[in-house]
Amino acid sequence: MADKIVIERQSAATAMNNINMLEKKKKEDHIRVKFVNQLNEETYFKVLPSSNIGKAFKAYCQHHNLNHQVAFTYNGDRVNPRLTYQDLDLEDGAEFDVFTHVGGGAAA
Amino acid sequence: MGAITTINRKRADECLSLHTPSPSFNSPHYFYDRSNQIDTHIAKKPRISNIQSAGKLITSAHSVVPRLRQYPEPGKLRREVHAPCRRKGFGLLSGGLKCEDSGIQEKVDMGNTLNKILRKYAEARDNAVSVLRYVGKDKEVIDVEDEPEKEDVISKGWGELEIVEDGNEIQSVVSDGNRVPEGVEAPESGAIQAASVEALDLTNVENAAKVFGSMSLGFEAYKKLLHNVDAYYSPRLSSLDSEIKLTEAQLQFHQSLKKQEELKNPGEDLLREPFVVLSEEEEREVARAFSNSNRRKILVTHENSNIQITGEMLQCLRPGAWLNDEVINVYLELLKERERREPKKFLNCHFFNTFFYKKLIGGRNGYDYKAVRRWTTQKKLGYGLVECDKIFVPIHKEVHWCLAVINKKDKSFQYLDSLGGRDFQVLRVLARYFADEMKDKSGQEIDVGSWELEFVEDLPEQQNGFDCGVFMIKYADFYSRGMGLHFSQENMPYFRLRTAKEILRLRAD
Repeated sequence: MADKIVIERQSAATAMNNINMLEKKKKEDHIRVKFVNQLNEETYFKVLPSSNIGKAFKAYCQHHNLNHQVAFTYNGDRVNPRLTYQDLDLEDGAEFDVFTHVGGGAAA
Repeated sequence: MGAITTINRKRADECLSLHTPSPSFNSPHYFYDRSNQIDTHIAKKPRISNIQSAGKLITSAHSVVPRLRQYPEPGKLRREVHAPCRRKGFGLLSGGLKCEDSGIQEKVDMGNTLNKILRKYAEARDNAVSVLRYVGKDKEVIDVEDEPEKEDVISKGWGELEIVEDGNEIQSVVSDGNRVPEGVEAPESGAIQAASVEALDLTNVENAAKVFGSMSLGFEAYKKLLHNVDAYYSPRLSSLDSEIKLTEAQLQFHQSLKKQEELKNPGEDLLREPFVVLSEEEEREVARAFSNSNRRKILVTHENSNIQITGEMLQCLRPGAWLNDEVINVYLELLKERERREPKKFLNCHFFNTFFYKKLIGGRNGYDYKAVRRWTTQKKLGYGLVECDKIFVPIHKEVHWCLAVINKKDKSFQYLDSLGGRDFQVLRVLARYFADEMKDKSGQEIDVGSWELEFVEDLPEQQNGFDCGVFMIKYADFYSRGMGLHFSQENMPYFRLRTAKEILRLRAD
């Protein structure tokens, strides 16, 4: 929003230039995040930093046909899917680990 | 000779009585009382035997006392001069009386043994008499002292002599027999007594010899001898007494120590805490959470770790179910929070989640430190692993949970498996990880090679095929308290409920 206001104030001549710049910037704004499962299979997603992380999680599950729950962690911590990448200061190339849930009881 | 023999018999009596243990043996006054009894009793004995008829006496053991009153005081009897010798008769009486309860039987036995011993007696009498009469002869005395067995023979001979010479004497012996066995067979006649008896025999012989040499009046000598015996015994007795007391004290001490160990060193209060019984309300809450209507519901959300626990997940805490990793992770988070809440009460620990070990060994080439390098930054945790006393690493193996501990306090890597399994690989990996971690985070080079790899063996083990997860989290729980693993399979149903309650309330105690 702030960018747009700035654009309006500027001259028409420079406006086009700025718009081009903005578009470029928007493209740069996309960050790539990596999902690594326990078989070390990597899946990349291009996401907007301001989007919910949960969106990518859903996409990952759809992509891999996972209907059971999996755990997404970042640096060992579970990630709250309602947060955005910006909230977590995630940068390009952030790596999520995907773990399938396990149980154990030591049956023979 | 007659005088000598009766005296001998009395001596034997006395000795017998002296060595006769009684329930009150431990009391310091025992000997004093005992010797008093002996005094009167023995002194009167010969008279009885002379006067009473054989038939009566067998049954008259108990009526002896009133009759005895008619007789003169023991002090007036000259015969007592030779009292000290009676001691030698002890061997006979103790040996002969052990197996007999009734006077009649004793009599019969005496008759039987009489013939056998008669020959010995002849020799023994010669020896004895010579000893008594020629005390001055060193040779003889030395013989007696050097050969306690021979001495026994002598005393036996004397004992028999009484019987042979005078039918009445038998009776007196018999009446003795009635009385004595109680004492002789009393349970307290132990090895100690037997040993002391032997020693006493020797000293008594010496005493006897002395007394014989210098004696003028029996009663005086007898008193002296008693005094000697007392002097010999009382320190021994008191030392035995104190020994018994000491042993008892030691026993008590050991028992209390054992109890303490069972109840855990820090005291009962600390041990009570992990076993606080759930209130009814809490139990109802848990039961509600376990119900199937809550399966899809998110019961609790742990904010810090972003773990949501649904009813379905929590149901793994129902008896007989396998624990899933979410429940374990939440519980370990709660343990960490508990420690932060009360840092003084609990050890400074770090709890890795169930994913850590998988990630650590899940690299393309196995061990991959880089994959977990950023899991433990100071910024993220608020503390460094360097500061932690213990680092807990849950290990998941196919269908089994175990726990590995990096014990910085004791410089060891521990592996706890409720099924008693061993996995060197886990400990080696952790050792390598810890070295890398220290090097990366604090620049320290740690020689983990010198650290001990320990497979904890004296741990509570599971007796079924589903409780290993509970065992695992409880190992962590108790260790983080700095306690030993004081629980067992029996506690598992309780721990399941308790864990469910703690997760529902998001607070571990």
